[in-house]
Amino acid sequence: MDLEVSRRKVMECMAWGPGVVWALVAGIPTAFSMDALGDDSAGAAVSSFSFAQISDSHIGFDKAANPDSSGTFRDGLAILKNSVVKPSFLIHTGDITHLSKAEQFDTAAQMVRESGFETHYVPGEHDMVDEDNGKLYMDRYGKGTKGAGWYSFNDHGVHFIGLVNVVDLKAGGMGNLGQAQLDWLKNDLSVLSASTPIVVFAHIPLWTVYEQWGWGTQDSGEALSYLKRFGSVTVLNGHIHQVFQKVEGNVSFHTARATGFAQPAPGTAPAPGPMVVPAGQLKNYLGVTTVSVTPNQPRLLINDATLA
Amino acid sequence: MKKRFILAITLSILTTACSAYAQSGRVEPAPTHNMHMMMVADSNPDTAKAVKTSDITISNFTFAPVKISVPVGTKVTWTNKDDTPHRVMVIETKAKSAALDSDASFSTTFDTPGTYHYFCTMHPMMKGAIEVTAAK
Repeated sequence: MDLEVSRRKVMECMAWGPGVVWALVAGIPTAFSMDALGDDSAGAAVSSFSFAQISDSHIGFDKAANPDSSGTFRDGLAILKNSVVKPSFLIHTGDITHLSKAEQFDTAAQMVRESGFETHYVPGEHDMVDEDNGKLYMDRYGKGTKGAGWYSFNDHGVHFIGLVNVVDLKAGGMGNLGQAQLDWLKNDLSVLSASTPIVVFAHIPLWTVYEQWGWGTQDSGEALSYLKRFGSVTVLNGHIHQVFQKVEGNVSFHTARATGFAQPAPGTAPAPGPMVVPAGQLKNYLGVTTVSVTPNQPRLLINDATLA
Repeated sequence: MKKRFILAITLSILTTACSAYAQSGRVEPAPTHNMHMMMVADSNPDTAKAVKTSDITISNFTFAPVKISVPVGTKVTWTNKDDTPHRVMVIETKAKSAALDSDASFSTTFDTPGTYHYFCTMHPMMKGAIEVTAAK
């Protein structure tokens, strides 16, 4: 009955012309921009599906911490391919390669192609250190992106945003998004209804995991402020090669394991970097992540699997 | 004939002035390599300048020594002893290394006195400074 009343009120509002519509989404009063009502590309029809995150493959790395980074990347892809519910697609959250060499990009691309997964990428700092400061990455993955490679897309009613926080880093700072990207993000989000589930992915964590090691993004606070009005925000990062998670309001933060090599937990070693683990234990430290989306469930289900 | 001679002298003065400006003006982002070549092109008899060297080690995501003081003309070399790459950039001169894999090195020569700051463009919390002192 109440629903009927509110629907009538909604219709009255609509009759008054452009404005904001309130509706109940998962029990939470939610504002819709009326401009977004006719847009069924995001928010309007979320359907159940899953996707996967793979990260920090560091193709080309062959030191003691993992002499076969190609092999462990292939293992990670195989786990996803053979999983009971096959992910619709992958996101790779950067450090595809160890040294931005053409042959390293080739090897990674070949293995992804063999896995058969459609894959969306963002670069890590290791992918942007060729002579031309990222040209090899951009030639391969930058088509249709803005700036240093940021972009968004919609899938199953979820709005995905790939951000780049590994270029033009400032001395003494951490990850950096920069004003141009922040402006783009604000604009990209402005047309979405607050009920649209948002997945943001970037290489370096968009929250400060450990400042002493640079494990954070100095201007991420500004980006997160644009996301405050959304009912479901999931932030997926890599870079630190281990699982950390935090929930703050409607925002769930999560970092993934690497397939390349392990890194120490914050503050447990003199510095970050490749960590040699006891013989036979490496696959317990490496892994992949699957994310399941269910309609009307603001909290996405994140599952981390090791390669063991 | 006389006119042409004067023109040649003027040009030569202009060229010298330009190169002096490039060397003294730290605002000018001239690549350090060029600075070094200029020094050679000047045919400065003080060739001892070129052999002054100073080494900085990169280990555990730290530059050591993190601050050095060297005389003008010193060639500074960074060597990466970590298992992961680093990339050095001198802010004032814009001199930038390639991604330095383990045991790889990068050198640049400081031809103008002043304070220089550098950092790792991949891990920007890594910073260091070089004080370049005037020759006595």
